[in-house]
Amino acid sequence: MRVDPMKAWRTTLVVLGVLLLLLGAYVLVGSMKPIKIAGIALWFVLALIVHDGIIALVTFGVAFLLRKAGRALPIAVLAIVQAGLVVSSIFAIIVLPAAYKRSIGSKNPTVLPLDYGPSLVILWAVIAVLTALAVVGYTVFARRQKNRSSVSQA
Amino acid sequence: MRRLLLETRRVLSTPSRHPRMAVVLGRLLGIAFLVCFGTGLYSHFLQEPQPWMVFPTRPQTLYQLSQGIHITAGIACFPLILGKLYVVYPGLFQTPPIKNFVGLLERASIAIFVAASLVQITTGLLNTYQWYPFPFPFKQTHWALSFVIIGSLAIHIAVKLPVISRYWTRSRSFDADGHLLLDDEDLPLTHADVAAELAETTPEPVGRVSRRVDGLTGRVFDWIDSAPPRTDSPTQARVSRRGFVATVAVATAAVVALTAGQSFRVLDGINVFGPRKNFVGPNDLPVNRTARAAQVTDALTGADWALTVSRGSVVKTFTRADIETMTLHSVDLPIACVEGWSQMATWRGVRLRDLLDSVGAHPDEDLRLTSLEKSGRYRVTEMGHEYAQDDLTLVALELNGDPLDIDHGFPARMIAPGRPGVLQTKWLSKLEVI
Repeated sequence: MRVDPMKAWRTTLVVLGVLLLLLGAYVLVGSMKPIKIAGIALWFVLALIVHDGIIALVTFGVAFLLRKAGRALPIAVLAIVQAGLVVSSIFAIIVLPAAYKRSIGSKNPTVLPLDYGPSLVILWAVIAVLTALAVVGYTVFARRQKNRSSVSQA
Repeated sequence: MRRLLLETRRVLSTPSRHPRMAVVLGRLLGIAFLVCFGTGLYSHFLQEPQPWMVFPTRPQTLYQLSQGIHITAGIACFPLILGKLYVVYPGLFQTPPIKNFVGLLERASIAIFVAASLVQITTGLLNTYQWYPFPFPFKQTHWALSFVIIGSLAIHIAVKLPVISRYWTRSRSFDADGHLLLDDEDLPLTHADVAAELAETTPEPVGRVSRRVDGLTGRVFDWIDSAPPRTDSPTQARVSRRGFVATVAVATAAVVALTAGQSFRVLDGINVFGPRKNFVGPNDLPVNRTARAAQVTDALTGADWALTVSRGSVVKTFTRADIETMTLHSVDLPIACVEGWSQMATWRGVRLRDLLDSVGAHPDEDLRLTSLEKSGRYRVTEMGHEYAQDDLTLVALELNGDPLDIDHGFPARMIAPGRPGVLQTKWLSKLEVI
């Protein structure tokens, strides 16, 4: 009897996955009170709401508004502007909690010793400048290409 | 409802939302997860070893490296997971929402996978800020969720294996001109697809759907259609797709570059957002737990302090002055914290082995260390003989050329190669051979 390798792999992975999930549940139940596990469940729900409901929606909205506003712009310019916004946002997600925690203080002065808020603002400015330079660079490049040959640069 | 889901999926389709992209990002994210899992297991067992476990003491930067990679890979997961979720987001609106019982399990496992991953990296990041605004204990949760995540990852790979294998290679995903080759079922939904799907369940013929939908929903979709994704030509789609890949790459490289200096010296100069900064702290070294937090006072560490070393009934005590008269050694060893930051430092003190020899300890005997701190998980810890007998393991009195600051464990602390900072016991009071 020949075993379908795809099926064999899938079965193995599902069995392994279920065992690990059970182990995770076992560790969870063994190491904390039910109320704490309920706390984790609450954070699971919050995580899904924050991502699927807020982050994804805002991303869609901003992308949509950019497309609407940038109807006449080359797609590459839109992509560059989007890249600038995305990178800025990801730094916001990582650094804003640090800036907030620093502002409410820490008992250990060697934790969060840097100026996170001001540095984030500077970084945003740097990203904005780089984005603008990239847009200008692309536009100049595209124009030259267009002059050289009549190939459209989309 | 069905129409709403179909229309939502249709307007969400963009050039970068396709299975090949999901496979590319999924691979990277999967690697990052496995790296975090592996280094996390290592860190866990260093702190809570099984009786039979023996650990390598070289290279002495081993834990610095493994835990630095753990935290750095965890930070890299932020852009990667957000990118991955962006790509697969339309899948949230699949029709019908639940096909059958297996489908229900599949969706539930995805929900757990996504939620656990987001909670894991978020609380992990907050832990590096020593900030715990969540209603559950960090350490136990981080440990348990690691199994939940890797388990759901295995199930996710099993479910998606046909798609993963279909789009694994570049050559099967793109034609010679670099245009994406999608199977029919993976093509983005069009107006016609939505109409056709609805026609199956609707008796009357269906035209261009959004025009036919009355009320708010129809108007919203019409408005969204006024600025569809720019996929008029394959070239435009390719620019958009490559832009997306470049964005995720730049974001990942940038978050790593601007934070990893807390773990890797070479990036210290651009460590702008790391929660720790090399050389910031007493003795030019950051502190994980302050003397104040550990309730270690000057009274406890004053002239009356002495270190007790015992093996069974043989007990010896050493004042700081006693230790200073012994042969002292200088070693360069890193402090490497479970929270990922680390820094190389120069320590001066007596070899632990010399102290143990004074009570006749055998080379294969382990050690129990007790600190002056009032409470805490690491007040009493154990050290395997491989560390206790190592040439580099010191009971240190000095750090970077000066006496230990009280926050670094004055009067004396342990420093051993390749161990987590929490096990480099500060404010030593007792060493028992066991």
